[in-house]
Amino acid sequence: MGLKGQCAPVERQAGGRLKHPSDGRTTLVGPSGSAPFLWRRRLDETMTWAELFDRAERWDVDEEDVTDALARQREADADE
Amino acid sequence: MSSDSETSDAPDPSRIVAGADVLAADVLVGGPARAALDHVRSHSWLDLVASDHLLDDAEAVIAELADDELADDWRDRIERERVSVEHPPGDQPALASAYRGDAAHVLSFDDELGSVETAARLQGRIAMSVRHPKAFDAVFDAASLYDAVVGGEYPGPDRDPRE
Repeated sequence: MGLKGQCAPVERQAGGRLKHPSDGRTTLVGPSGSAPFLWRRRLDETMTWAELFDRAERWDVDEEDVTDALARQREADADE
Repeated sequence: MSSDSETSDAPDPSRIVAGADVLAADVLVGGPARAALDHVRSHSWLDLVASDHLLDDAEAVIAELADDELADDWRDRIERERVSVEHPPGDQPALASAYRGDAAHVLSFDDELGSVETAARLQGRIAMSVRHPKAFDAVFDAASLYDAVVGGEYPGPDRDPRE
């Protein structure tokens, strides 16, 4: 698709995300005509902390999960 | 501050480093990590210091426990706010970020990082405190810190920590 604004054209991906070709960043948009508005907004603004926290709630993560994942990350780095 | 600035004997009390575990828990869990970092987000005169290595670790944890999209968006956001420092790849990212960035506070869930032994080992080199975010939240005194860093009467938070 070819939404045109102040930037290079974007392409729609599966799941309704728009991908910006210049940096590969994708943005989740609604199913209808709200997409261009949302895309222009996201070009200028990163997500708010409230938006990030709201999105993260769908994953049931606790502190132990985080420390375990970081330990695995460090082990993988050490193995490389 | 430039990324290759010299360190000093007296770290800056307005500069704070959150370990990768605390950064990831802030967005994924909430609780003490979010409470501690809300203090930073609420005050424009406090700085969050982080190297690329530190953010890489946190981003990888977020991507593993959530997904790449959330990790990407978190990275975009945190890049706007952090004071960037550089350190060699093999260094412990949180401690090295604090050392290179003259930060007085390091937040971590890692007991070993915050242990008395570690503090003693670092004493001769770095005058920083390593605390669990719950402990940092408990002792954080915005008014006295504002007086020390900025000077004058504390006007209250000057930023929305959810914006």
